Amino acid sequence: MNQTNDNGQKNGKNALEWSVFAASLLLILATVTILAIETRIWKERPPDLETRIVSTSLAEDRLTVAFEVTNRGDLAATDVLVELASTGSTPVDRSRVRIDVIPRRATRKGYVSLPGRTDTMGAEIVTVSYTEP
Amino acid sequence: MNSAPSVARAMRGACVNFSHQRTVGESALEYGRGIAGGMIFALPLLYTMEVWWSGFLLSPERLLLYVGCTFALLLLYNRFAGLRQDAAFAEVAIDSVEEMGIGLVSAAAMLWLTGQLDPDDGLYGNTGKIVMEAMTVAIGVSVGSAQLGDDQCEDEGMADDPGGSEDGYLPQAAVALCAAVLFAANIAATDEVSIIAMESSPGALLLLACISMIGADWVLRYSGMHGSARQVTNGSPFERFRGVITTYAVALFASGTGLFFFGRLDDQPEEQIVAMCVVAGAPAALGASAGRLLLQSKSPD
Repeated sequence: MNQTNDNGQKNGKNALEWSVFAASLLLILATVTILAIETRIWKERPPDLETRIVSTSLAEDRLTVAFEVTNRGDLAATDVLVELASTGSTPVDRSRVRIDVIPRRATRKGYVSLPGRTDTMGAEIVTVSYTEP
Repeated sequence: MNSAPSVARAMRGACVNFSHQRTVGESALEYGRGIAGGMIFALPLLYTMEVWWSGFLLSPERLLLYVGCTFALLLLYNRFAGLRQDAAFAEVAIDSVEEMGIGLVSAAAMLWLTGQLDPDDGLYGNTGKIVMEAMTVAIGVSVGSAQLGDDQCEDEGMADDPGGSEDGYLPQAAVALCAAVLFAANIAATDEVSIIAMESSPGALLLLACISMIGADWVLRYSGMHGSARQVTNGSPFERFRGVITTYAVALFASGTGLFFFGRLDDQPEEQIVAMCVVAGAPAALGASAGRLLLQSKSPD
């Protein structure tokens, strides 16, 4: 059923065109499948932020904490404020760091320091606030 | 992985009537032109943070709808202004699939090169980013394939088709919609649209709407742009009035749709929604007029 052109040759796609078409079809199907699966599990839960300390280091009387914040909710969180606070000392020392955005089910890493510390004990990290975009 | 040959066999078996026969080299050149077109039209989006963010801020349903609407737009453009306007629907659909696939790969490559694909964002976050960028790239690929080639190596489109009606009212409105979406998409995601809409008085917005309409009419009828004599009907005053209104309505629809798909209309009051559509409608009107002629610059005389 293929048409013929002016030279009497059959019209049709060549191997490259068919390959590009097949790869494109697979890619589109994969994309649509991922979005369809996400649509099924999407419940519009608010951001659920879990903060944890990855490592601590002490240098030049400064405690530096590497941390991770993971958003387990369905909505992204913006302007996330993370606070590192000393425990067991008075007054309580605090340092804060702001993260622009944490997409749903994504993780962001960061570093925050407490000056004037001589040991790595007694510090906790928490998410203080965030906004929904 | 023998999917390509098996799909090829399946499609041959489906008896698609193809309008052309190209060598592998000619096809590679066409794909190259398509990728260049995709980059030209979508480059501002690829470098816009709000578009990356919308990929993971929006719900997956909206992303699915965006993919579906873009595919419909590709079908419209390929049918009425694309490279193979004389092709059967199946061939137009195959071309549209290819263009969307190339758009996805091109957008993913650009995002990766610019460091915007982050494993910590997860599969969905990265898929969303790619989808939000790739749809505009895909339309650019379609336009690039059709309009950036050498005149001598292209198909003849509807030149030999006595029934061709590319300059009809609805086909022209369809091409105007494609061009308006392409132009509006480049600004719809930005915060600036919202800020301008918020800060503009109703009088300023009315003036912007009037200038958008007058500007679109001037571009189509008096600017002497390539293709204006062929693509624009100079009929009765009613037809002319209908043309102006249609062009601006298409522009407003394209701007509203673009703003919706980038999540900019969510939780906004009605007055702000109207104002934002008018603000984004100005470049969309330029797209529906000058862009529409540009997207058909290689249509046969």
